Amino acid sequence: MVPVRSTYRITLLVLLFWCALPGVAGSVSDEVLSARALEIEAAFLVKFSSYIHWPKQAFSSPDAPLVIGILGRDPFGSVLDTIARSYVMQGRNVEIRRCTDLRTLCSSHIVFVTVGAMESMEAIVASAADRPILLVGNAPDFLERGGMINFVVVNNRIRFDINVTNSHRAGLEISSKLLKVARTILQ
Amino acid sequence: MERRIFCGCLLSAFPLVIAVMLVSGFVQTTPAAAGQDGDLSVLSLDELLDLEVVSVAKVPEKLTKTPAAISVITGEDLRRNGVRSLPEALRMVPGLHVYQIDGNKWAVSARGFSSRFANKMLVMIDGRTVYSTLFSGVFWDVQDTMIEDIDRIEVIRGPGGTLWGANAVNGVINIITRDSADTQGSLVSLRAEDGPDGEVSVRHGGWLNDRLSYRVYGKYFDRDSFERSDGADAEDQWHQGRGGFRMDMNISAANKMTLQGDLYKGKSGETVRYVTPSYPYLNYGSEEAPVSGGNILGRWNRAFSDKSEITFQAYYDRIERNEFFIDETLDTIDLDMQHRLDLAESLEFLYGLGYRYTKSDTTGKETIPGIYSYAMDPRVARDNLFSGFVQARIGIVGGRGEITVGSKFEHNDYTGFEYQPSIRALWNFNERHALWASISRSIRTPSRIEDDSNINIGLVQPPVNGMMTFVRLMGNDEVDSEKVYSYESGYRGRLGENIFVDLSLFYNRYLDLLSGVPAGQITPEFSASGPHLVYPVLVANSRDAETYGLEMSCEVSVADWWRLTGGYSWLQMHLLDVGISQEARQGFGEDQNAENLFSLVSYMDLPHDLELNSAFYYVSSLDGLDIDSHVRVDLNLSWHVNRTVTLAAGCHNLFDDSHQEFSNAMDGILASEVPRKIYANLTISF
Repeated sequence: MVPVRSTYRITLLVLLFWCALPGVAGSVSDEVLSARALEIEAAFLVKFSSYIHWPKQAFSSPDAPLVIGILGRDPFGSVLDTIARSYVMQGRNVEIRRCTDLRTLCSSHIVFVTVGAMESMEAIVASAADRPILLVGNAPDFLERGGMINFVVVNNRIRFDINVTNSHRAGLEISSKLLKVARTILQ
Repeated sequence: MERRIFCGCLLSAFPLVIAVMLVSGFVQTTPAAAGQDGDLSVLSLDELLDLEVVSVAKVPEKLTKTPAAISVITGEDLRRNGVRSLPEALRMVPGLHVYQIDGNKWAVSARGFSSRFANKMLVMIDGRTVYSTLFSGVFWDVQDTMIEDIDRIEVIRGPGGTLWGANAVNGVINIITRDSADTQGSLVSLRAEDGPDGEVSVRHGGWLNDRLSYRVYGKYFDRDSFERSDGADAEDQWHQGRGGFRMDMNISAANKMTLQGDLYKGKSGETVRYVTPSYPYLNYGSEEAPVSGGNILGRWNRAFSDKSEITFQAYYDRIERNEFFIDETLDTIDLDMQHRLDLAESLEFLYGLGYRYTKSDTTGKETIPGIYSYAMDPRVARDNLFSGFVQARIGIVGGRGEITVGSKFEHNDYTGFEYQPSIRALWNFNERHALWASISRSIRTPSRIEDDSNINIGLVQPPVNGMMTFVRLMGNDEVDSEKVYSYESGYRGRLGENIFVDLSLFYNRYLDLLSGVPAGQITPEFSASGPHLVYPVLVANSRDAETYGLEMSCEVSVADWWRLTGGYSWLQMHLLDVGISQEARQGFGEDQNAENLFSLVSYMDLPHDLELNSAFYYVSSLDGLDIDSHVRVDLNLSWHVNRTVTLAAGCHNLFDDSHQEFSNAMDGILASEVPRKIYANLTISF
């Protein structure tokens, strides 16, 4: 049965071809993935400041620093500090603070809510209520629960969704340039 | 008695403006993005959006770690400067010479040899090589895509042969479009220019399933003709329709496939000069040359680990062009594979194989009006090109230094076996400063015109012994490839927090450049039009030349809302032979390039979602072509009205009614004056 044999031979060849190539089974661990993803998210977090308009009273002086608070166990580590150090937002330095409780949250302009801190999301939203604080997170239901910008991984890249109703309520104006590159906008 | 030769057309280019990089392989350069070192703060929003979370593929290489003169312009740069065509985009690249010849033709080259048929540059769109095998050079009027979908344009000045896995003598231009996952939703762009010119582009992107994204696009533009320096209508109006698609399938982060294709059809107007056998010997004619073509390309990239990655690519491309002097139908089939292997911590090994089949058919045009006979022998050429390359990158001194050695090998139907080795070294003083140097040998293989032509290209006046005497260009299948030895070095560094500087120096030695050489006796010949004489000119490896110069560029982030990029280049080119005529020198491109180029582009983000861009270009005179120096200022204001609508308005050539940028000493095309253009642009994305 010639046809059968030739099919068999092709299969064998294909198998040999794949086996000959090294590292077929190799893949990237989740750890590497999240480290890189967090690094990019950290850069976005700092970069967002240039696309948000805060009311004047949000800053105590014209050269007061822009404060980014981390709520929950800090996932970024030194990466965020490194990026913040070399960034100047409209003449302001960027300061990173690890918030231990909700009271310190009020002095921040941007607050990153870690997945771990999502348990107390309602309390966070309540204490930030009516203050110009941009709430950023990376949990699936973050925007529905009062968040403003939420990171998602799409097609191996970092994207984000924006809830403009929530940001409006806080008195924040998000530039249309940022809105333009967002994946989805919740009204 | 002094006799003069009247040459009117492209073919009269004595030193043949020619040729081709019969290359295979494709450039797989890496994004100019920051690496793993945490320096992401310098990236723009768009660049951040572009970063891959898992980069199993080659770790994105920092610009500062490439041992070559490389520049990158992004799609965002194009949008902000109101650029609507690929050659115009290249003006922004430091060290690239871009001269617009008429309404739809450009001369684009790096490091000398500028001409419409600049033949020492390799140009690729998404890995597909674009050039004509017949006369070589790139027909820029048919190289286009949806401008909004361009991710970036990478330009390497200098030989790209070994490092990039493809061969190119003076430079590589690689135009890369965005992944279809990044062009989701619908976009409509409308453009109106004084002229009146108009352009409409439409694109739609979506997901077929959660791994397979796609986009389709269509565009059409119509541009009015320019005027010539004497005020006459140049009749170089231009219109073209184009459509295409791209599909990307992410089977997994380490396994990706791309399928893309385009079709286009249009007309490119021109005024040509040709010789007639009777007084006044030179005549002019206008035409709208039909151009059409299409391509389809598939690519499969598989990473087995962060140490091993393989890419396969195949494409088919068809070009049809019927100009006054040029008629060719070209079919190309190209197959390529490339495999990267990290054999050890500090040893990266890269190799590739390629095959290309081309069929160049010139039977469409048997004769050219006037005295021109037009014949290629053979009329139809079927050529095979086999190629391979190997390259090793070795880290030294704990990764601070790097040495790259390799060579490309190929076998072509014109000159047989060829090799193109290079060695490059890079030294990082620290994270901020790096020096590099390289030595390479590259070749340019003869094109069909140099091998197959048998064409009457001019007329000797007054007639010899009272008989009409044709100048006939005769191809020579004995010719060898042109060879170039390049010596380069460069510095790249970050000064302070916000200033990037890039400097490169080069010396190129060209051997065996091809040109037409008067050969032998004037011989009588009989044809239907009666007896006449033939003055034969034979293609031969007859000239050597040298070029040297420097290129500088600088990027300054003045504030988080203001960025400046500047470029300066200085170029010298000399033919090494003594006693050749000025005419011959010109044809080679000596004094046909600006010695000094200067550019300054400013990017400002203003309040209320406004962006103001301005660009200043200075191009010194092209003495050999009698072209004066010129200054060009462009201005663009964009307003992101809301998430859906962006309005832009601007002016190219703000302070100048019009100026001529190039001339047509050799190619028979009459040059036009490049006019001021005022435009408005509406982009709707939803």
